[in-house]
Amino acid sequence: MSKRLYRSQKNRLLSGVCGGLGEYLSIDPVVIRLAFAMFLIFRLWLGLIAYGLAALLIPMRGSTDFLEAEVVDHPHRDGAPGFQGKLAIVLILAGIGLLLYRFIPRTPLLLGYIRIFKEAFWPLALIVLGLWLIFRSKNR
Amino acid sequence: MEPKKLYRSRRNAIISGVCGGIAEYVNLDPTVVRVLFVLFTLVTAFFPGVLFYIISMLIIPLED
Repeated sequence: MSKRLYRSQKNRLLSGVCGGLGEYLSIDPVVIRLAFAMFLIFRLWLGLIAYGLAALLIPMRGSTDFLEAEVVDHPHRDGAPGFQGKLAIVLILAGIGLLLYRFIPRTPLLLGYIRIFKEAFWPLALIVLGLWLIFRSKNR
Repeated sequence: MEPKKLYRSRRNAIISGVCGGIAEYVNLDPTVVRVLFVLFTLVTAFFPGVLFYIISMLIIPLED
């Protein structure tokens, strides 16, 4: 069988998208994450949306094994929200977001958030540094 | 084959080894990477460069 793209279970920080891409391309996932971070700095929302879609669309490694045995006509009859359920939630949230943006004029979109972020840069930098120290000591 | 790993360097470190580690990963002189990074930071008016450095510090594991 040809190589397939999965979300990684070993190399994951959030949902394993970058780790899975790294495994697929045989590149250190850290490099993928950095490239993605760079993308986020310049295109925050585009990156977030792309990441969300990737997390939804790319199957978790192991989660599609059943496809070979079972009929796929009625997936997720047993309550857990399947792909359609997740997609629905994303669509609803996107709709609510667009509505808020449309009718509450001062809702900050991308530029607004960047401005907030710039103004709050040093406080955030301190928080991030603190988090880094915590994570670093946890990894030891 | 295991892909080559990106680490923050211990030997070539000035702040936290990000540039040194990237240099070791791509086989360049760390100074060149630092100069390029400073250039990038200047060209983009500081903010993206500094943010990227902090993110790098968080994401890239320290060499053991």
